[in-house]
Amino acid sequence: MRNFLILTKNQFDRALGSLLWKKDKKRGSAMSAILVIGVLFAAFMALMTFQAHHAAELFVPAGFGDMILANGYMLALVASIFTSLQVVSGGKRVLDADMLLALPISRFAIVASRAISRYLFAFAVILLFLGPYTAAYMMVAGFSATVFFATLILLLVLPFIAVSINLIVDFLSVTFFRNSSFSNILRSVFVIILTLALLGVYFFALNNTNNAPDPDTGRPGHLDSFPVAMLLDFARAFDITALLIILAVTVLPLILGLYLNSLTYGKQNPSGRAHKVDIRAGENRGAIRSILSIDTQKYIQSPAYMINSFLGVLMLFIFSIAVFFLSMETVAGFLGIGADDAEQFAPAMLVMVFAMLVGLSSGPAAAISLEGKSFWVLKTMPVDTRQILIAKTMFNIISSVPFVIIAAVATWIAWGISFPWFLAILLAPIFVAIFSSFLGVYLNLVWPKLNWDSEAQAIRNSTAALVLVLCNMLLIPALFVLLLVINVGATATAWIMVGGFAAIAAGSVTLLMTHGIKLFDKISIR
Amino acid sequence: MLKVQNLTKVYSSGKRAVDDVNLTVEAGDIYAFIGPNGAGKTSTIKCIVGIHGFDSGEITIDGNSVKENSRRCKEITAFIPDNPDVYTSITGMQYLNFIASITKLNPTRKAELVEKYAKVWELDHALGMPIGSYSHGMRQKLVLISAFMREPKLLVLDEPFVGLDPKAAFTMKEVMKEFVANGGAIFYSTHVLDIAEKLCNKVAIIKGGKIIADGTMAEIAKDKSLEKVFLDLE
Repeated sequence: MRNFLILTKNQFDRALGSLLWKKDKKRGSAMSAILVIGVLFAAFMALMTFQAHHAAELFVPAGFGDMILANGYMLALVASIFTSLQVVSGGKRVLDADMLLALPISRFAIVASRAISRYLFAFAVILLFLGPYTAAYMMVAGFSATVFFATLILLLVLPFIAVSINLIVDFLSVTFFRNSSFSNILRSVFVIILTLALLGVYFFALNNTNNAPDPDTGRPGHLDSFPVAMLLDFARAFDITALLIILAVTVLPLILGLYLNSLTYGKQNPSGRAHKVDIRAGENRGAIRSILSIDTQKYIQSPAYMINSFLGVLMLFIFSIAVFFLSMETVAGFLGIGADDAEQFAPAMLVMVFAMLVGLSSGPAAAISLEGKSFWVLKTMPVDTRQILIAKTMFNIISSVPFVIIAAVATWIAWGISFPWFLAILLAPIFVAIFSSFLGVYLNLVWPKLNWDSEAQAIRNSTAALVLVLCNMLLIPALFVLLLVINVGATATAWIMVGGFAAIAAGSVTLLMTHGIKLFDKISIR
Repeated sequence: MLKVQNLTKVYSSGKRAVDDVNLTVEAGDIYAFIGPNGAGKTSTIKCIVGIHGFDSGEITIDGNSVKENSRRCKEITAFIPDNPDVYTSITGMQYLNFIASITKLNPTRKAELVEKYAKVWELDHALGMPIGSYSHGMRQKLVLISAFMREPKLLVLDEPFVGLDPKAAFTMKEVMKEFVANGGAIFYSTHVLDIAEKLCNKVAIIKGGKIIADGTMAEIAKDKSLEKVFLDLE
């Protein structure tokens, strides 16, 4: 315990030190990062509160207030588990592993102290959903001390589930695939399949529950099943049995996860097998293609990078297959649109969903940071900065656009949608891919993180990545909500969104190619 | 080949890392740059190779200004850092192909030089392995091969002997001599004074960001060892 506390203090000292010891401009940059993240975080919570309040006004007076709390719990859980899977490192060795292992500290204490950053990340994600839904519920139903304190306790313990899943999946991915020649690719595929399976189970359970009210509790089926019923019992009645079960299902897996992870912590992955090389092979491919090729290698070799870059577009690909088996009305039902309204709202909703899936990738915001300590290579090579930056944006665009085209064409063929609608669902995500790529690289230049301990820090837990994901999560639905509020019709909404994304994409390209170039030239490594 | 005039570099913390430094490296020179830790060696080198900007002064490489024509300067200069941090996810050969491609080397000439230097530094067997599995010394050798295969006019090296085994260090000295004999110039920082004394024809000593002594090895050392001169100046 003592070692755990010392290591935890050291973690905080490092985080605080990196802020305090920065001088002048750099400290200003760190403070501005905190401010920007804070503002975006608050804006997202405000958007969620607005949306939850709108639902609460409908459900609470009708006696279905539990629906609002249950939505908050489930969204918080799903989002936190989803993001925790995105930061599975796949056993990548952190830089100070040797130093820590050489000290008289147990592996368990090291892993436990390292898990705190994952806990804080999951805590923030859970707060994003639990806070607005609980607030919206109490704004309409009135303040309830029981709900308030129960929510506080849930806020503290639910992140344990996300951390446990992250640790256990990390352990499994290392244990199963450690000795394979394609270990990194297999780990990435394993985590992606697991994530999709979890999401699949969630949607399946959501749509296949008997919603007839339970004779004892009076709750509809989907609110009366595990884990929602247990969370509601605790929140509404401060049920001690429910609390004990919650503690058991959160704390025990955490201890198991920490134990399992401590078994693999710091173990060196086996050296890669030597491949035969042909020194005479290799052609001059130019700067952009060469940098792109190196970035592709990094992508394939890094589970965290691959999961973050690929998950959204893979979901698009699954959608491309699903449209041949599911009707427009069924998919509209998944999105919360009634069958009667499917035809009317589907264009705008699909534009938003396609755009959101493409915008899930935080890869571009890590494109510069991933250079890490090898940043000197790009700095000292005879290449125009413009070419470097274009190459850095290309990877995300190239890996997204083919999937967008497949999804749009599949939807066109399967559902027989009109050509203008097809164009809208094709163009909007392409513009989002461009906007997200150029803005991501720009944000990475504003907040570069070249001194990281593990790639996951640069990919997911960096200021640039957080700001990009929050921007995407805010901007895309905000534009949609705004256009629905001014009520211009779904097709017009879809096309105005396409125009809006095109304008933002053009702005991002201009920003990176002007101010971004100056920022790149100014970045120096000590 | 390399001319540094009144170079001053001040960090955002206010620290004056390099203060009015003047240096001239001619073709055929092996120029040692020595000084205590934190004296400004690496900062000066990073200004020369374009990693850092600088506040005042001028750096020219083969007549080209680093500020105004940085791309041309980078085309004729190869840099080897004190820590050979390179992309760990690719193989050694992929790294060499990347550098060759980005610097537009002739593929045939590249192949000849990779073959030559990989054999010289005994890395030919490991070029197909991921760099992540290399030792520090192997990474250092890989970065050396990538620098020499470019056939630059100027080589800038920061502590190039760190991490090399005795045989590789000996080979390094021979390759450096061959490089300058063919008209190249080398500017390198080091703490290994006995090697510098035997290998270099010129030396500069930096302390607190200022050059406190510079000239030919004979002028600086006179009848004393370079180590003695260095310690006396400390």
